[in-house]
Amino acid sequence: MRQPIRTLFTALAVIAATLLSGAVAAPEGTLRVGVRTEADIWDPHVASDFSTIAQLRNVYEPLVDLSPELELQGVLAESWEVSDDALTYTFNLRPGVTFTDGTSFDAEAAKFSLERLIELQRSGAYLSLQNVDVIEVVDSLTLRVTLAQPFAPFLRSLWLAWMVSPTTVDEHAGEDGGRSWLEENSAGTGPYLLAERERGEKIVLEANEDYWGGWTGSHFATVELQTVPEAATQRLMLERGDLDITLLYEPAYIEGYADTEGVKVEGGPTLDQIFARIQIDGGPTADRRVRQALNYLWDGEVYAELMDGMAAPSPGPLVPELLGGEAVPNPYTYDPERGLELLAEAGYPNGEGLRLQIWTHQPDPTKKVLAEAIQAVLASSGVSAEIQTAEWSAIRKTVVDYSNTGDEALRKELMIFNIKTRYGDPRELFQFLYHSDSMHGQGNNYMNYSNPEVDRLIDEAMASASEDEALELMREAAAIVIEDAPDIFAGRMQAFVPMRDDVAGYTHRPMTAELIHFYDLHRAE
Amino acid sequence: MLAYILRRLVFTVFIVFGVAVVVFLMADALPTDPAVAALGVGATQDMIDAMREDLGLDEPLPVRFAAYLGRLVRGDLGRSITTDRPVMVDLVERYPNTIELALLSMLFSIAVGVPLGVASAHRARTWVDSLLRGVAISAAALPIFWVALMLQLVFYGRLGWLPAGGRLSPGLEVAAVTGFTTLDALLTGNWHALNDVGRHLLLPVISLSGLTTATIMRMTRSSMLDVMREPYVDTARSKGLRERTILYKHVLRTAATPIVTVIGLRFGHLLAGAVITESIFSWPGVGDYAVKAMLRNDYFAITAFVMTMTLFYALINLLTDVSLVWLDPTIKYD
Repeated sequence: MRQPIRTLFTALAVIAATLLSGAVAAPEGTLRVGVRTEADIWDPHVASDFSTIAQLRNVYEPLVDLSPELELQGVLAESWEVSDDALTYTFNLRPGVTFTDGTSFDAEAAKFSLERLIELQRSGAYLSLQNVDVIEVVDSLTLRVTLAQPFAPFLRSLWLAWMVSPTTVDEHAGEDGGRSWLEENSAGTGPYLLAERERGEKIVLEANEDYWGGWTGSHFATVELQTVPEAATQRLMLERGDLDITLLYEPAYIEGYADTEGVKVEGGPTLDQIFARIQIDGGPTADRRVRQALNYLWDGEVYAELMDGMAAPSPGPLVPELLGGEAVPNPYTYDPERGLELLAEAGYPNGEGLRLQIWTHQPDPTKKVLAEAIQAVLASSGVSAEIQTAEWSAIRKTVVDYSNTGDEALRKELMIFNIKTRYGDPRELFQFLYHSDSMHGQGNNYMNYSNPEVDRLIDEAMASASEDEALELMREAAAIVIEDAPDIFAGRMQAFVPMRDDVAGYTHRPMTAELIHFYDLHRAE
Repeated sequence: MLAYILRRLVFTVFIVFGVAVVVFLMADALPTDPAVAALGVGATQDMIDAMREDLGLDEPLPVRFAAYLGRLVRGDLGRSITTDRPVMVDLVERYPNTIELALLSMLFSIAVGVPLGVASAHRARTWVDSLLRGVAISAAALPIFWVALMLQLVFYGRLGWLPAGGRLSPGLEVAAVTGFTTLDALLTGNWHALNDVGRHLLLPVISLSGLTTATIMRMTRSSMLDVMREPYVDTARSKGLRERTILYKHVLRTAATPIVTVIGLRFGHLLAGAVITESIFSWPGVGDYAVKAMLRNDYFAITAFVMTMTLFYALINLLTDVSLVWLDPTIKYD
């Protein structure tokens, strides 16, 4: 009889140990990430560029986030309701969440965070949140936000609006509202907290033991973000195992990484594109036939080859992922015959008499490669183009001044631009790129494109409560934009993320490829 | 002598002030907008206007200039748009690393350049001299970034003998006393860290030292050849003094004046030229900070960087001039 009892007790002990080890799982090990440039600003309501956001997002969390498939995902909000007039959003907040300072996350904290973000006017979410009229604490776990006017991408934009502990920020407010303190410390709800910051060298994040998501399964206990500005150095360090993961910005290294032992390359197509925006107001490119001709004369494969696979030909103004997977037909393929035909109709037979300037910002090499590619490809069809480079704010001033005054001396025909959606919403992107309200420096419509029909479609889509209806309206708008050709749709960008073979859990995110969720990663057995 | 030093220090203040004025006016005249540079490509005109108001950029030039001078007098170098911190704090953090790198590179250049220059002068017009001059020309001609990358590839990438970059290996810390890592490790008796930071500095120092070593070597050779023609050198030899004593104690001491002048000039160049080395070896100095500031048209950071560099140049020159008096007592300053 004793033997079966002993066996039973042993079995029970093993089961208990297994269960307990899962329940008290602790993160372990260090993930060493190579970053080209450190996140200079660690205040979550001031940081606005994507490379900074990519690092901070592991420390701070929003109410709502976007999945890799661009679906809305509750993070600090479990659920939400939107009023019929699309003006009022009611969020039911996740209970049991605390900031790293022990303060409970509740509706007051959420209200504080949103108000602080709006006041500072720096965050990427600000453009959306400036529509906010009232923020109301209904009860400790219910927050109500009312907009002054409908703004359909509002929920999506909240992925950039992060929650910060009001207790800590108030305590360290000082003269700058806590900005200095937040550069050296963190006060978020995320899986990691800012443990150490050696500027210019490294930033160390440590696991937040009280993270509401828990630590069952495998996770890294520490993340070291090492500043390694030189791509060649990053590659050597990854090869030797002194780095675990990095982001690739130099196309020349792609092939080399593919052949490196112990290293694998993840990634894929992003939602980012690169266009040569074309001047609509005055000059030779005011003629739609010239703009369409430029698109027929452009060969996207050339850019893809020059970028060693870091770019692919563009599908048009909107990638299919932003239209529910359904692309809008784009007639522009490399067809120099058709292009020259259009130029002849517009009064430039064989490109004679057509002189273009291609402007690009220094010192971005991606844009420079494209400018040179456009110049070479157009030259092969007899169209001459000159490349000019200047610092961004100087270019911006000139194009905005031209937009306001029409002074011919300030006119630029082509300007290379990175096209990046901030909220994964075609309406927001088109609003920024093509709506007349975005002219004169109010958005990215620097080349003065104005089509009342496109404006109407964007406005209707913005006000539409139905996603399907909105997508249909955007497809219509995209078709008109393709016809009007306000851009040379030059290329679609690809992301490459080299990492050691034993790093597992990485998920490619087309909208935010720079954003690596460290919580998802672990060392493979 | 003391009066001379004090006069030079006062003069330095005027130089720095003059540079501050020029840099402010030049930065103002540039067709760039710090608010646009800070907010990036996605900013709207309203956001830019708000930031311009925040930074006082729309005030008339005399008002902005007066505010700028007022802040300078109080030691307030403004707030960096890039780091969102007082510029003074950024510079105090970064400068020691660059000075450390430049200083060690200079010491290395002197330790290698002077003996090679002496050897070259002593064996003038022989194959030894030709070889050393060839080495000097190569060291001067090879671009720093290429040398740095090659050293990193060989000694880290292939051999694994030295680290890829950074200041210290993970897990190691040095208590801050002066801000100079090597000195702090020495002062706190942290020998492990001293060894570690030495290993981290070796490749950056060698990379940065090429042109300086070559310059010191050539100047030493040239200056020594001039002095070696002096009759007292023959007298020393005929008195039976050892050649080594003649070269180092008598000839070099007399020939040192132009060498020290060149060292002073080169030190300023090393400070300014550490940017590439800092980037390749991830050395957290002021060079990288300055480059980012220039790309973002970080107004206050750029102005402060230029002013502090001017100050260092002026002080190094003063130090050089003072040390010449010690070397050659016949030099007198009024």
